[in-house]
Amino acid sequence: MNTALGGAVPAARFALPLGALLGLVAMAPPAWAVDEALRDGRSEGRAAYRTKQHGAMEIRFGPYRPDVDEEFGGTATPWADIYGTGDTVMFGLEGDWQAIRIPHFGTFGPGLQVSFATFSQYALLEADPSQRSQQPTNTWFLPVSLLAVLRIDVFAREFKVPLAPYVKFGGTMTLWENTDGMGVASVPDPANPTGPAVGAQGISTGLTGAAGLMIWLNPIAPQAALDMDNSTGVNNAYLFGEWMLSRVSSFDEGLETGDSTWQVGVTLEF
Amino acid sequence: MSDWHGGPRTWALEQTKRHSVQRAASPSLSSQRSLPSLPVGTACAPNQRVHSQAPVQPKPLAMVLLGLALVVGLWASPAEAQSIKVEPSQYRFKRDVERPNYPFWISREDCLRDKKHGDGETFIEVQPNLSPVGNYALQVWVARGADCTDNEIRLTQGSCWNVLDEIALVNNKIYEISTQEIVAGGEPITDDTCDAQVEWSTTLYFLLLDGDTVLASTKWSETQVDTKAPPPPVNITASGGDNAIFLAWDAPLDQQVIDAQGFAYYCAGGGMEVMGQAGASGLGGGTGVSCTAGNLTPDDYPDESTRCGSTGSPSSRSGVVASPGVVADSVVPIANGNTYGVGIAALDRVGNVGLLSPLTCATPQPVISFFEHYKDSGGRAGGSFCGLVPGSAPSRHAGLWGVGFGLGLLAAYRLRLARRAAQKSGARG
Repeated sequence: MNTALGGAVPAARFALPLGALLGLVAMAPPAWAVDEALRDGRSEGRAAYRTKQHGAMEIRFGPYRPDVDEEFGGTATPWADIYGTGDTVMFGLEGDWQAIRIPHFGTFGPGLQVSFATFSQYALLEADPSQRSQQPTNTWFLPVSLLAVLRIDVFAREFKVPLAPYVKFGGTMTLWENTDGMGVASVPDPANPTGPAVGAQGISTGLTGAAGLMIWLNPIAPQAALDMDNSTGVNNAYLFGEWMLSRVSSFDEGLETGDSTWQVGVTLEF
Repeated sequence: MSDWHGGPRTWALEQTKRHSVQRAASPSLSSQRSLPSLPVGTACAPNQRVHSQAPVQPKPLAMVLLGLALVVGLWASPAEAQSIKVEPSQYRFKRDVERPNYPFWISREDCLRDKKHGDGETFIEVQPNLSPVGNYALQVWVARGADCTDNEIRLTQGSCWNVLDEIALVNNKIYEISTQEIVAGGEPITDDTCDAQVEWSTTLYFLLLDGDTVLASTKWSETQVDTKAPPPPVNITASGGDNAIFLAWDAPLDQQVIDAQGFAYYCAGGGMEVMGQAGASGLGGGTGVSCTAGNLTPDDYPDESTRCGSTGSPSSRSGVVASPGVVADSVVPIANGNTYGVGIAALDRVGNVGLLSPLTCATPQPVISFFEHYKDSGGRAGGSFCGLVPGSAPSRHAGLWGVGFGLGLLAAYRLRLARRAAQKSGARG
């Protein structure tokens, strides 16, 4: 069983996000709709119906393949040998506190992002590594990132362009584990072969940065957006696409779990 | 020996009848009349002269007799109602190995391990409250729906069968009931009694009897007989892993029972594949190749000394066989290079083990997993999630990021406060 999106080539990695970005821009509502959405929310006498905005929540997903083999500088490719060069899908949740509103610019504040991805494959037969056994070798990753998030929503708020670019930067701590069908895999410690085995789990730390673009959805249905604000406190809804680059190897002391990839999702500001 | 106590369950134990046979009623006047009559004038002062010829005064005599009758009546024990009572804590299932699920149900294992007729130490222990004790009989009758307190039903129709008959001389005495006699259903006990694939509810009637007269009774409805195990899975495949065997199977098409609780795997070394006709008994996977190994016999109850793993999930369709200590519930060492025959039996909620499936052969062999390959390539990572020990790289980085993030939060908060203050002062200005 292989859940990796095997066969994905680097070109596809760029084509997909570019296509998604173009699609997002094409979906952007026209200026008159933006104007209506803003007028509903901000016109005098109706401003009281808008709830205050404190933060944002994101649901996101995208392809992921950790750059484990970078550790070996091309001399070995244990990850590719077992899991191939394909990606799997990483799902994530993010919560941001928009601590500061910068007038005529956007919001700035801290965010916490938690994601999860898993790879499943069968181990190779030692007698014939071109063949697979029926013994699973599964690896999961759980990155947790603390981020500084800057969202620039001035275009939507003041220029009737329903686009909001953003950037994020921060630290990531990734928990990972490899199992072999009977529990956590382990191998003898090369430095101490007679001592306790080394378990296939650990934590890697590193840096993460991302840049993306959000499409403001409120203008598509201004009244519904206002109703949602009044009933649930959700001020704005966005679709987003971003490029994310992470280097998470405990600064060359642990498993490299970072990747350069894109992600898409939904953002709700509340 | 396990001693299971009631716990939080709700018990259906109920005291159903108190037969009002009034044996020790108040003394009758006739018995009082049999008392020796006091001489007339006894109540007079000793120096008082008794006139023997004095006429008997009937009215004072009647008053005296009535008074005596009252006194005797007050001192006599009140009318007693016979009763029998079995609290949940007084009904205990004694087993060699405690079973947390359905502790009062009788499984095939409970039947086989019966202390009285089987080869184990399993029995039902009851300690009823009896009132009064005496030369009465305590009998326990079992029925599947019939009312055993009815003499005609109990004694003539044969729908109740007796599993205990003793003299109820002592209150709170402990009695032992045979599980196998309950399972037998009133039939003679044979070697095959426990192999009957049955699943039915029972009611145990505890009767306090004077001859055939039921003085008191109570019943217990929490014990069910369940010796029926689910059928084995089908289309079993096995493949060798590193000192392990990986199994896959399909659920049986005929779901004969709904209480399947998992599967147990049985292995024997020296497995040997032989060509045969696919689909016949003992053939694995419908491949036309059968496997034979040791004392594993398809379509028979497996020997527990060959168990090599299990899963507690009835929806599982795959599992792993390995040595003791590597997987739970295994007593068979599994090593690379040896061929094993493997079969699977289904388990139910009371631990009944079903018949063994056809066998399939597999040979464990070394494999290359990701982590092994990574470490062999010189990989530096691994250990545990406890990598955040003081001084380690993850710990330093996590600490730095934590401090940085905290400072960032603090700065954001201070900035926000400053902005609010500025807005307020601007509004006032």
